[in-house]
Amino acid sequence: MTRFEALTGVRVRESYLSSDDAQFAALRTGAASDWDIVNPSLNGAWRYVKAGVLKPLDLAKIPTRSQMYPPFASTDKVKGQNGATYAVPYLWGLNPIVYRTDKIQGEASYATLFDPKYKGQLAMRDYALEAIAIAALHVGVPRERVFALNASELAEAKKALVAQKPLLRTYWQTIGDLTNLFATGEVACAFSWRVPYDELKGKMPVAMAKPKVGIMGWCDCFAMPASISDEKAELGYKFINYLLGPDYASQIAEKGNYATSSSIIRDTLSKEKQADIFVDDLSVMDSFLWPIAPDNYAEWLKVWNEVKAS
Amino acid sequence: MARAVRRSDTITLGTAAAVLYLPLLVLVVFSFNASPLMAFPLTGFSLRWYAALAGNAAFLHGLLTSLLVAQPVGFLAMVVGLAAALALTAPRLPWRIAFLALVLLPFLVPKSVLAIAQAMLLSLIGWDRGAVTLILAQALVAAPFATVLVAAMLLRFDHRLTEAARDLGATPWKSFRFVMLPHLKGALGGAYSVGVILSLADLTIATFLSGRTQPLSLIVASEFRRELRPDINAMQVVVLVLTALVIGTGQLGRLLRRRRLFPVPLTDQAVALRAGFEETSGRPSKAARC
Amino acid sequence: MTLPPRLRREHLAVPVALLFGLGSLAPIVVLAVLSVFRVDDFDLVPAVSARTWIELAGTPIYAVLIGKALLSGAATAVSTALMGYPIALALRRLPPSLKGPALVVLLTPLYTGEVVRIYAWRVTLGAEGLVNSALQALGLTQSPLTFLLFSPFTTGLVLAYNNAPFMILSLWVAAETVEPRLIEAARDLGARPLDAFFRIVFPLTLPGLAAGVFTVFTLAAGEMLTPSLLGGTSGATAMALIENLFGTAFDWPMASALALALLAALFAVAAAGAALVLLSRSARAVLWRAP
Repeated sequence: MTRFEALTGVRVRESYLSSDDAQFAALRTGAASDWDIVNPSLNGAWRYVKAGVLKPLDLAKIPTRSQMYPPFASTDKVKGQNGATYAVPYLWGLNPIVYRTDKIQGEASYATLFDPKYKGQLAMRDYALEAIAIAALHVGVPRERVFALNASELAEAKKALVAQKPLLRTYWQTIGDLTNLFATGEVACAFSWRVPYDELKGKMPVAMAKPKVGIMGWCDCFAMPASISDEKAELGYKFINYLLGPDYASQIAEKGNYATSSSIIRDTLSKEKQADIFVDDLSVMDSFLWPIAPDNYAEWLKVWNEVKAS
Repeated sequence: MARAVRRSDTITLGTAAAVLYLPLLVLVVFSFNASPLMAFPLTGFSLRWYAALAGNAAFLHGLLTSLLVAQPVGFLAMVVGLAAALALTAPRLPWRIAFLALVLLPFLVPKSVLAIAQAMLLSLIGWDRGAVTLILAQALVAAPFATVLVAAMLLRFDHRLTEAARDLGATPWKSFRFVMLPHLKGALGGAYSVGVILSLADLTIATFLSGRTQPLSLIVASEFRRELRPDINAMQVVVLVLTALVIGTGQLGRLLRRRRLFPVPLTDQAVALRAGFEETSGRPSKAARC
Repeated sequence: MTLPPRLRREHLAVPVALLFGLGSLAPIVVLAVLSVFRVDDFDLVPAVSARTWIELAGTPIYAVLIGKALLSGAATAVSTALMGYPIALALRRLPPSLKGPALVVLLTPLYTGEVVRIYAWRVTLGAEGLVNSALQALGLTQSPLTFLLFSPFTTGLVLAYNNAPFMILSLWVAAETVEPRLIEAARDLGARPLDAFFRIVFPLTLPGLAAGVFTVFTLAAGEMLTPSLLGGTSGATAMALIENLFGTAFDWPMASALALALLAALFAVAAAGAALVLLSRSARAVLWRAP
């Protein structure tokens, strides 16, 4: 941010928000009239587009976009029915399984999370979308369909989750929470984000697993509110151009261990660094699984709460 | 009245205090622990988290915001509490029970439900959320406590005094201003502090109603989501020591002014303090609180 | 600000009632209205339907969660009352000079943020935590007791911890009004300590008990953070579901209906409980005596 400010003389002011939902609600209700840039998630972008709160983007004004990895450049999740593009993916990552190599035999997979052998050492995120999708993968639903389950598949997934519940030490709430669970030895294997791995790798034997059957990805997008003035929109384009450029990409790879959606600096990174930010083997992008709220999400929520209260 | 404390009482209170302070002890220990992880084993003594605290601009900015928001909340709570208490204890008030229920309502509804409902209402009428909504909403939750506090004092107030003033030719305003108000000074001060304390400790209301105004509790909560850094423990310890000092000196002041602390003043103090602390168990969202 | 002579104190009730009506009654009315609306594409459609209420009534999970909230509130109220009495009575017997400091000691822990305290409990009760280490060092247990953390036991313990000060305060304030000579007289007349407690102290502190029970019950029933972060897999709460429905699912009607149902259940139980206590014969005797 500071680099961009120095380059352009524009000051970037950030607002802290608790979630994508809060951001959407703020835009939807007009509570965010002074925002110039918003960051919808790739998976949630459709509802922003559908609700008409975003400005259609002029891609010609974002030259750095040319080096984006194909899955991000070609995604139609950021497009409206009229074909216009409303958001640009810029930062992404994977949600791996993190596990203790001294307590789990072999490389962990989703099956490990349902394995009675590890009773009391497992944890799942308290999040209906991902938990049910993982259970669906576990009971054999193909990857393309895990976010569009039919009634019987949803029931199957629920059964698996109910059976899993006694094996779990707890459901984790925030990533700081999960890091603490690993650090205090409560949990040996969990569906996770990469954060606990980064924080703990020097201190205990931890590893990350990226299940081939389907790996949950996350991706943040850049977008501008529909109501933005032309003058500010120009600055916005400059900003996204910066975010997709080499400067931001190398900083975020160094400090945050994240990759941007652009291949612009990939070849200049060491093999280890590439592996660290998941761009060493680009085939990982073939097993991407983007969590997307299904139409009957309320139903999913009900199932998830029934599992938790069972 | 001075007599030794019974042995059984010492045991009861000692045990209670030990249990009460066990988690705080853990907090203090980890605020001085060198490792960034809150887990055993301890890795050695360090003051780095206290140093980190001083250099954290976001924290300091949030603290300033919190302090600036807390003042009007205290003032509004005091004024509304005074008005409500005067009405509540007026001899001729019709529908007294209904009025009392209405005034106590913000306390009885779980705070997250109330805040969510208020957010929905604001959305419907298209009112932007920000410092104003935050202040109003916090003042609303503080007002019931302020009311109870002032009303408790009013009930004990000898109305013959105002009557005497009136007999001597004072206008109702004058008798209120010069006879009743001085009597209420303590309670009003208490009402003000209740508002301030409650506002400083609040996260629940801020989560839903603060808009772009970002008080400390919100900033800490958002940091805490990502990682549990011990500088938050350190901040907690600092806040703890400061409050203990403030309350402690307040107590000492009272003690010096009038020797007899109890039984009467306990009620007022208790109500005031309890109201102030109530909010610390308010339910924040999934986010954390400092 | 000069009050015209015709305006009296009771007239202040009008603006105050307006304020509270707008601030807290109106949002609750909004909940009621929203609960019969529908959401289409993130737009609230004012098409009145009983969908949410039918679903609420027909789905056991909602009733289960509301029941759990009530149970957790009641359990916390009872446990804090049980431990609150001995503490409050001991506090009452303290010499006056120690009472001020005791109040500070009692209330200070509440100043720490809830989440920070939750993580303190984790390192206290965890498998590698303080308590388990102590137990194993003393040779009392061979392996860590896992039920200490992430179980209903933990939730109960920490809810009691969080709310105990409110109960103790209520009981203490009530106990201060009990004339010590009454107890002495009873003892002189041969009453055993427990007799004296049940015949004198208990009835005289009933109003305080009612206030404490009411407070602790509503606070504990509305808790969501402690159960979800310390209760392990047993940590589901109605409050968390309401927030989920409101935010992630964008199902405001269902969120409203569930919130209202929870409110109604809380009020019904709390009011019934308070009435039961306050209408009991001994409480009535105390209340009538009060000014």
